[in-house]
Amino acid sequence: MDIAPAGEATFRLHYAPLAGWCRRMVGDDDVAHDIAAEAFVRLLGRWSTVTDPRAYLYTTALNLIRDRWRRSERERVALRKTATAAATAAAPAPELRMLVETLPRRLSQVVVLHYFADLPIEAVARELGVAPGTVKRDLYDARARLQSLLEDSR
Amino acid sequence: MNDKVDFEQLLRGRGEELTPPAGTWVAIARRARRRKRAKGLLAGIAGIALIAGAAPAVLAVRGSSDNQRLQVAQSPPHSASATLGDNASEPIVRPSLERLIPASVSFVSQSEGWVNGPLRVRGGTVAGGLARTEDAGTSWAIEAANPAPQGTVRFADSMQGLSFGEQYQATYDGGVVWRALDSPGYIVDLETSNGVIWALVRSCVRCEKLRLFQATLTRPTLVRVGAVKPIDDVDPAITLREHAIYVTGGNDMWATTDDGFSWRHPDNPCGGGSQAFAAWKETGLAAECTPARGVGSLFESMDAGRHWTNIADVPHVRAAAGTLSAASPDELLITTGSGAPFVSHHHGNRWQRAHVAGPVTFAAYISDSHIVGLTGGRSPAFVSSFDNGRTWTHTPFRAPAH
Repeated sequence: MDIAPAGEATFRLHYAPLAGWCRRMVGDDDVAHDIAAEAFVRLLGRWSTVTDPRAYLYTTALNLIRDRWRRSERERVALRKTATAAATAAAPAPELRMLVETLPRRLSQVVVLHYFADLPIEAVARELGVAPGTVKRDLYDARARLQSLLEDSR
Repeated sequence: MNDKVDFEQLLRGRGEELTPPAGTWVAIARRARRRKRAKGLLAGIAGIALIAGAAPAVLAVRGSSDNQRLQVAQSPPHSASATLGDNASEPIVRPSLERLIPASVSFVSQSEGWVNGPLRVRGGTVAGGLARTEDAGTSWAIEAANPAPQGTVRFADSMQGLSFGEQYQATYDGGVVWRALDSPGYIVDLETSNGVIWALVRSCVRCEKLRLFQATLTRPTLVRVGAVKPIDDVDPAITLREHAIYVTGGNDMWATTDDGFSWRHPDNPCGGGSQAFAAWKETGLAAECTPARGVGSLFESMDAGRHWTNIADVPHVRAAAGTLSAASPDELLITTGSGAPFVSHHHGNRWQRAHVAGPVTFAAYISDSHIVGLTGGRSPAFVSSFDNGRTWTHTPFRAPAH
C-alpha cells in the first residue's frame, strides 16, 4: 500500500498547527520543527496501525517534548538563552509548560488530545480506552489543577 | 466559575501555526523510508505498510580470530500496536519463542548468541523479545529480560551487552536486567571492539549527517569523536576488524587501524550510492556498491581503504543493495532486499543462490566457514551453515517439545 498521498494530505492538514503548538511548548522554531517532523516520521512508520493520526501526532509530540525537557537540562538552558536572543523565536508559554510538567501524565494526555488535537470527548475516550465520563472528569480535574497553579503563580 | 474560560483561551491559541519550511514533507518521507529500509523485512512481517519497498540493512562482521562476533545492523523493533507514542504504555505480553519476530542477532562466539525483536500480539506487535542460545543456535531459550531491550542488541561478551536505536540500554548480566542510558540522539549503528563502544548517531530529525560517538563498556556515556567529520546518512555502517574501524555512509568513509587513535578519510568506492561493507582482515575490505539502476559492483581493498579495485559485477543484487559478509577474499556472502542469499567461493567472480527456506533477512560469517542468519516470513527461523553456505540448517523459533 502506498501511503504517500494520504500521508501528505495528513501533513498538509496537521503539520502547521502541530509545529505551532510545539513552538509554544519549547519556544524555538527549529526545535518545534524537529519535534513535529519526528512525530510525522513515527506516524508514517505506524500508519497501518494508527487509528487517529491527529491523536497520535499530538501524543507523540507531547512525549518528545517531555523527554527533551527531562533528559537535557543543559540544552534547556541553552534554548532559553537562544529564545531571548533570537528575534523570531517565541518564548515558551510558561503555563503550557506548567501544564505538561505538573499535571499527571493521564491528565495532560487527556488535555492535549481534547484541546490541542481537537478530539471530541468520545474520541479521546476511544483513544485512551476509557469511558467518556472518565475523560470529562479528568478534564475537570485538569482545569481545576491548572487554575490553582495559575493563581498561585500570579 | 470562570476557570474554564481562562483555561481554554490558554490552551487553544488559534492562529499560532508554524509553516513548514520548503521540503519538509520530502524530508519526512525520506526519513520514514530510511527507517523502513533499516527495518528490512521486519515491517513486512509485522504487516506494516510503508511508502517504499523493503530494502536491507547494512551488516558488518567483525571480531578477533578467537572471538568472532556477528553484529547485524537493524533498526529497533517498534510497537505496531501502540497508538499513543513511544512512551505510551504497551500491553504486557508474556514473551515466548512462538511470538518472537527476530530482528537482530549478536554472537560472541561460535556457540553463544542472542536474537531479539518484537513479539506478536493481536493486531500488531510489541517490543520486548530476547532469546539466547549456547549451542550455536540448535536450541533457543527466552530470556526473562527486565525491562526488555527496546532496540537492536549487541553483546560484547557473555555478560555485557547494549541495545540501541531510539533508546540506549545496557546489560551487565547477560541480558536479564537492562539499564537505560543517556543518548545524544537516535543511534543508527553501534559496535563494540576491545572494550570500546562506537556509535553512529543522528542528533536531530532533519539532520542529513551522522556523527560518530564513542564510549567504553565500563563507562558507556557516549562522547563525540571530533576527529571524524559527520558522514552522509545513506546506508551508514560501522565495520570492525581487530584494531580497524571503518565508518561508512553515502560519499563518506573514515578509517582507523589503531583503535581510533588516528583517522584517515579515504575515498568511498560507492560514491554515495547504496552500499555495504565487510572486512575479512584488518586491512582487507570488500564493498558492494549498488546503483539505483543497473548492475552492482564489488570492490576490494587490501590496504585499509586507501586503494580500491573493482573486482566483479554482482548481477544478482541488481537494484537491491544487500548485506555483505566475507570470511576471506574468496568466500563472500550477500543477502538481497528480496531475501535471497548468494554465496561466492571464487572472489566474487561466480555466485550461486544459497538454498535456504524462507526469505533471509540477514546472514553473516562468524568464523572462517560458519555463517549464521535469520529468515522472516510467517515462520521466522534461525539458519546456519558450517561450510561457507553450501548446506544450511534451519531452526524454527519454537519451544522444545518435552
